[in-house]
Amino acid sequence: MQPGASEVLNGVKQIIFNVLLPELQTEQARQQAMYATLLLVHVAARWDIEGPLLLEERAELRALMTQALSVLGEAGGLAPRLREGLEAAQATTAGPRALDAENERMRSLVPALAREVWGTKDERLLELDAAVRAYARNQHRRDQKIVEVGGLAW
Amino acid sequence: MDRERLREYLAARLPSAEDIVITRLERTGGGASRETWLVDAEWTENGTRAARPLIIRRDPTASVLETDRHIEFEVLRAARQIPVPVPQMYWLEEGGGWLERPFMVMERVSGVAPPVVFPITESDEVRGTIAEEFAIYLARIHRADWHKLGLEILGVPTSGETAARTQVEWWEREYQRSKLEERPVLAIALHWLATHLPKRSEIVLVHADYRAGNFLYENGHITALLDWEMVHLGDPMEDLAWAVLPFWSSGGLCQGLQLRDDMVAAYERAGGMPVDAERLFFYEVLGAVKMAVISLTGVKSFCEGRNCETVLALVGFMVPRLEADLIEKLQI
Repeated sequence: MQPGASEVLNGVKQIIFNVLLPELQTEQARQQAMYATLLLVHVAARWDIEGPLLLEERAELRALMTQALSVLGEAGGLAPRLREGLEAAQATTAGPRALDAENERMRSLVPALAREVWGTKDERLLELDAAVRAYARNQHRRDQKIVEVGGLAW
Repeated sequence: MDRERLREYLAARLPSAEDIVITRLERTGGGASRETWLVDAEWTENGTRAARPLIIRRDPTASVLETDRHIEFEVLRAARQIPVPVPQMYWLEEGGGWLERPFMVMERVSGVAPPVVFPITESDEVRGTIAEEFAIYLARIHRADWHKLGLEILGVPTSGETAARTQVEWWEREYQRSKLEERPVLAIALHWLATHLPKRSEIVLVHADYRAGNFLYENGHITALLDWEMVHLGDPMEDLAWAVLPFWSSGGLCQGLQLRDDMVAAYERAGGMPVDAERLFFYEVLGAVKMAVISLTGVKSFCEGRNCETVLALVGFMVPRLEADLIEKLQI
């Protein structure tokens, strides 16, 4: 069986740690190598959780875009971009990179949505305002999960 | 850095010096925005052998922050007259002819830079003295007569609102330039800032990166204030907010020095500008956004291969912590 991405990354980490690091002459170079191994540990650990988190985000973004379309209609000129983002997220996506690109199309509309509804007193927009905030909080929670793997959280 | 080129440079700058020898040339880990090099140089002048410890701050290939080195050099020169402890500035080279990239040469002041949180191992007495000096020097910076110091070169905001808008727009631009993907919390916070600009404030000299990690201390006293690259004229609350940012806190102590209220009180007691809670809050929000954007700038330059400092990739992992603070503050 072929080694998986995590195994390869762990192997590279071992090479840096056991072969390259002892040969390095300056503190600066040693520090760089140490940081590089930290990054590899992180990427290897992240491999398993990133896909499910992106899928979760896609579902939430699609619900948010759908809600925004229904509430805002053609107001504010966002409708074509919302529709475009939703259409792009219809297909079954193969890997995390494609999924991330797809999510980013919808994610990039969130600031404009927030500007439309932030601090609104309009009853009609209050639910959308709450949904935008909920998405922002959830996205932060997902980001937090990502940076926590591999022991890198600050 | 090429040792021989550096020796030739010093010879050009010190025409009466003979037999110049570089006895130490070593890059230090600090300075994410510019490379910092420790240099020990010796030469003979008027028959006397002299040794001079120097610091060279050289532009990196890419940085967490692109700032104006000329302004930083001039402000550091002026800051000695405030007076606050800063290194003596020797030379500024804006071209890459000597050492590949622009650089400045300054006195190497003795002392150590604490980490972003002042060491818990230091005694309460040392911590207390450092905290007091920290407040005194900040108050002096804010009370400095920047007209007299010739610091109009920094650009003079016409009002507190203009000062705030300039900062918000600057960090919005930096966010748009440096983001690898949309970050909803930061985008919302930037919108909040743009719609909650404070109307009025005094216009003072703002250090803009005033915190532990950016000063040196020795024998229980601050020996130098460093890292002036973001200096500008603006609202004094900007510096105070940066100093009390939860991001630098540990065990409830801002920067490991003092409780938040004590730090604010120490600043006022030291003769700082009147503290305005609303403006302080505004600039705390801006501070969290600013630190997040600085981190993203570093990540981007690493990801694009413009800078191979791996620490720049790691600073990106700080961003969610800053965003957590924004979620709480703005009730997102």
